[in-house]
Amino acid sequence: MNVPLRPTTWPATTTEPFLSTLPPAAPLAMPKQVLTAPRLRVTPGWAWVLRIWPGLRQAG
Amino acid sequence: MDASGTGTRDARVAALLLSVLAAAAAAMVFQVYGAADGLDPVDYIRSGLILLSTWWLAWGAAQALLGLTARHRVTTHSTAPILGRSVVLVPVYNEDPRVTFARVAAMDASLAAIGDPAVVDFAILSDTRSEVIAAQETAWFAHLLADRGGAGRMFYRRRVLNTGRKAGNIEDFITTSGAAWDYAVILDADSLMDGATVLEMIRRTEADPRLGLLQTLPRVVRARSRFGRAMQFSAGFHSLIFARGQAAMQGRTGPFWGHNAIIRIRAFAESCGLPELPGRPPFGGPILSHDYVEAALLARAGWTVRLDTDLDGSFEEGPENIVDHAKRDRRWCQGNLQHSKLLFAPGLKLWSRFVFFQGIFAYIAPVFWLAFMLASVAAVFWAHPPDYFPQENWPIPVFPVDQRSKAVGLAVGIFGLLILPKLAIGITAIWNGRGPGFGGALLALRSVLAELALSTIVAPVLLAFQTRSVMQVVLGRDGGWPPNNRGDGSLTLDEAWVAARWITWWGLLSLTSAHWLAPSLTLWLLPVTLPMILSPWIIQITSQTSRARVFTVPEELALPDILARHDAVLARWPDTIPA
Repeated sequence: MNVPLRPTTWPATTTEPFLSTLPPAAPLAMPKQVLTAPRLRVTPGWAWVLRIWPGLRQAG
Repeated sequence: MDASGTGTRDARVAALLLSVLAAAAAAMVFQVYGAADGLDPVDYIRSGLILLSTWWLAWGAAQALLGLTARHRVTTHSTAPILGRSVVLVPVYNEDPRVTFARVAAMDASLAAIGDPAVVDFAILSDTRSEVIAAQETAWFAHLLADRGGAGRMFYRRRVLNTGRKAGNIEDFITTSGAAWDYAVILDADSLMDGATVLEMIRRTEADPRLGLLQTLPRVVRARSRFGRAMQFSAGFHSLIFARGQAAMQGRTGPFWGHNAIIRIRAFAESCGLPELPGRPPFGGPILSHDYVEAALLARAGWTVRLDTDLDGSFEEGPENIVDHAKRDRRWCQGNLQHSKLLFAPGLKLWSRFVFFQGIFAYIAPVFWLAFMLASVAAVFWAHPPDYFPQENWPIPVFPVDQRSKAVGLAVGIFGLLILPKLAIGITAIWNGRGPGFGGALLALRSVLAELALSTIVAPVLLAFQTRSVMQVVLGRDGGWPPNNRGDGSLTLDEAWVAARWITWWGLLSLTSAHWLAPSLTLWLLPVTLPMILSPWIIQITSQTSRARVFTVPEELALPDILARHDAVLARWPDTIPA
């Protein structure tokens, strides 16, 4: 690690044993995106259909 | 290319219509063939499989047709002064630092030769796990700084944990240092981009404030083996047309291939923070094929994601043998199948969802062909014996109509979908004067035919590898993150045998069981089973170095400036330096 890794425009932020010469004071937020589809919930409408389904089948 | 909404919609509708019609026609012809001895359940299954498989082939053919007919956008190269700050990101993962850092030196020299005052820095983002290679990286980075006077504009960092793999590597860079620049050119470790191309990409991004990502079409270079050179030729000769077709259809929603592209950092930061998917790998965990998802997320946030096929000076290297190709494909397969969890992600553009679907279909299509072959063998047991007297009390036998011509016609049609686009691209290329770049019209045509022959022989081997990949992913086996093999890539027969003996056994098993169960199908199955049986030999032979004139590409005839610069840096730099 004794290599001359000192950038001129930014101070190096060497965190031994891992090294970084990147500019440290330029963070940018990267919010996690929502990618999972909302779970299909049994709505009252669905519940109603499910309730009358056995009756409908019997009638059929 | 017409990237307007109407043009894009027309292209999509045309491609979908063409492919669906071709698939429906194939399924109907097969139904007629199957009806000759009476339709049974297996015939319906086989028709369905033919429908799906043919749709996929026809979809590729429609894309080529669109690429051939799409209006090519001629962009005037602007010389407007660049105002924003840019950084070229070079993610590395257990790569040879000498060769990789020499690429940075070459690109920096290429930029310096232009003398543009624009700020273009470099950041090498290491995810290297090997301490030995990491020590070499720091030593070679110091060498790079000294060689190019890069202090203050060339940066290196290594992560403690490589969370999220390459996407996590880029994200880590953006969240710690991203605000220092406006644009980032994302590369792979084996990417090379001409300085003029980098500047042109920055100008185009700066000129369109809604442009979130601009993708170039990288040319595959430095291939040495028979397989590698065939792929290189195909990428140079055919991919341009397929990519134009793709760009015509995708419009403002992509594609992004993960490298050789420029991003507007602010757009990327606000739209592309990738969460881990719920569940365990292979379907849960970090998103592997992150590029497709990032393109979809940028489009979801209203940013334009564009492919400019007219940008030259963008290069990458490809696998040199079938085994390395299959290893890379295993990773892509897992990544694409993982997209099944994202098909219904909220707010995505319909076309982004379709791109996910396409990516999944690309890997399951071979499984449909395999299922079709198995169903064809099984169909023998369902076949009705011919009924020569279908009408009662009618003394003259009625012979069933021989529908074998339908089967032959269907096979020819399906094969046509595979080869006609490439032949059409070949003829058009010669017509348009692209021949000389590929060694002249005759040599270009010879290369097209040789590539067709080679891909026909190699296809069943790749089909076997792909099917195994799909099975492994479906059964829950995570492929991990193996580093890419770079370099020579030639394999011995022993190495090829170890990698592909299972394909030989499966080929032998399929051929003998087909011969035993359905002898009439043996001849039909030979084009698939024979290459499977001979796969170790095919892998070994195609991995050997080739200096034949066939598969000549423009970059072999006249070395591009950036490649020559890379060679010059490597020639100047020592082979090793003390770590």
